[in-house]
Amino acid sequence: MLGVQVEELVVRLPRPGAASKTLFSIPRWRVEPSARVCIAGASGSGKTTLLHVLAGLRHPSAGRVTVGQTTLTDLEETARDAFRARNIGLVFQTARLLPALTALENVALAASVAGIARAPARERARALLEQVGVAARASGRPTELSVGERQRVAIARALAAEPGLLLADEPTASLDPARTDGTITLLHDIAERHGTTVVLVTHEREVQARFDTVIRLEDLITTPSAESA
Amino acid sequence: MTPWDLILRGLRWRWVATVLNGLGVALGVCVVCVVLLVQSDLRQRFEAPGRDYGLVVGAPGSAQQLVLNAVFHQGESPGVIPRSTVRELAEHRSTALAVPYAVGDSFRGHRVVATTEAFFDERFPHPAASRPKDKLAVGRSFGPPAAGVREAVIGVGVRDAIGVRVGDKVELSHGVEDGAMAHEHETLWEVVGVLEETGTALDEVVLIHLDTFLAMDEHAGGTPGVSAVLLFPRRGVHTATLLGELRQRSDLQVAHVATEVRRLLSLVGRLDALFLWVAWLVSIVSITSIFASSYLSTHARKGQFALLRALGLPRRTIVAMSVAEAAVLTLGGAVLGALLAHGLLWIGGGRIEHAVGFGPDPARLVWGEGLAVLAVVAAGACAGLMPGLRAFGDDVATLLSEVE
Repeated sequence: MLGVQVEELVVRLPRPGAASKTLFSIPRWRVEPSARVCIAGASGSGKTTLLHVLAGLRHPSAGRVTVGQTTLTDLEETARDAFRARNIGLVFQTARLLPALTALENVALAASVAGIARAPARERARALLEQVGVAARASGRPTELSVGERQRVAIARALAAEPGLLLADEPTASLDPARTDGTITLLHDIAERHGTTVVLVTHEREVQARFDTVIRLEDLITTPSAESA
Repeated sequence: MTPWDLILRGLRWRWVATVLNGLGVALGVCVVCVVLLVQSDLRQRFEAPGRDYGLVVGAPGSAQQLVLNAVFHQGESPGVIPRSTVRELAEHRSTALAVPYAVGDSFRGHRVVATTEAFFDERFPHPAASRPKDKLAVGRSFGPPAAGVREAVIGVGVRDAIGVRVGDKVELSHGVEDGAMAHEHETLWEVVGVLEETGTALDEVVLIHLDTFLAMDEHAGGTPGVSAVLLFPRRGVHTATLLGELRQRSDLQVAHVATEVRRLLSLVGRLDALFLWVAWLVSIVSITSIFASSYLSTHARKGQFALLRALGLPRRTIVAMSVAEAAVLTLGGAVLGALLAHGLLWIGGGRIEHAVGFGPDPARLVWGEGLAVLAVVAAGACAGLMPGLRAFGDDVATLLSEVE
């Protein structure tokens, strides 16, 4: 389980032929280890960008992001990649499974990227698919799975490296209400079982209602429309 | 799952594109390899027999006809020169070795060359051997003829085509090709040796001793003579000396073998250069199709690259995967193309031989084939750079957002 600490974070968006625009700026924010936090906010407010910054996929314009004991913003890109592979699981709006691989292989791939050997990676993938309830579809390719099944496989993939931090970006955006509920329950169960810290962003009120801690992005940021030179 | 697993799974997943692209490359490389093999065989056949040969002297006529007949064993001899001239040429101060040839007979379609022991002299060049004893694959050379002894040495092509072995007797016919007729009296030659394979027209001839040839009734009439003399001048200025002197003679035609071979090759060379250009064009078209499909797949693959980057695969690994995938695809296609080329020559060799008089050896490899395969693989790898560099250049968050 890994906590997250954000200090003096600034994300600016470049604009062709004009000064860059500050998307958001967060003076200080902390997520405790094993916490399950939902970030709410309107579309375009920067929720996904914040998640990308926390994952080390995007370098902020200023500030520090620390995950566990590691300051991501101090790391070179290759080191950030390696850190993310081992410590951060990502779930996207759509499952983003590789079509050439089976469900099992998609999950095992994430474990392999994290440095886990082939056989243990497959074992872990099998166990995770069992946990998310799609073990019977392990040899199915993404095109043979339903949308809900794909998203469950994606959750299993996010957990393949046994990450201390799980970042989920609108993971139920493509699901119907029944599947949405099931997916959120699954996320909670898995996080509970593995002690994983969860940061989930969503604009869906039903999803927000399933979290004890809901933070509006607007409450975190200070100068949402500040211009910088 | 290693990057290699991902590459192979990806190729298998897009199997239609993989097969079509691979076949395109295979066809291009196949055409290039066929042209290179035919070209190489043609050059071998033209260059090897004339390599290290000096001059050819024969009856007045065309120098090219003389070289074609005496060196490449093709066409008609321009005529006959007296044996006294052979002696005169052999004893000339500038001559190192003189090898007389008399032609006009054949054995089941294979030309007979009547010559002397000088053929086996170490100064007489052989395309496949530097030492006299290495000129023979089996048996021995014919010796000086004794009474009633008639011996022959055959090329490997004769052995393979007719199945004649050392110890067998062969009967010669008068004339070559379609006009050959049996000699008046049945005269047999015993095969005592088989020449080492040269890959040239020499493989297709039957060598007998000049004296046994001239002793036959049909050849003994009139002035006994020979068709040509292969002349090997001493080192230094002697080639020029002999050329200068012999060009003054109205009763002789002299040809400088290297010069005539160059002339022949320049005619053939233009044609095979044209074929080679066509073959490369075919290859360029197939490589261009790989570039096109690679470019078209760039957008589709951005999502895959974005995901791999998000999972933690470094940029360099993804670029390397993209390049390796294209290289594997083109390598497979290129190797298939080279195999196809050899297979085609194996299947169609007989037809080619029937049509043009020689059939390239399908088992032979030429260095140009390796270069063609490498060039195509390198071009394919460059095509793979396109989507790879796109993934390299873009911020992974941008890629994810674009695909989302």
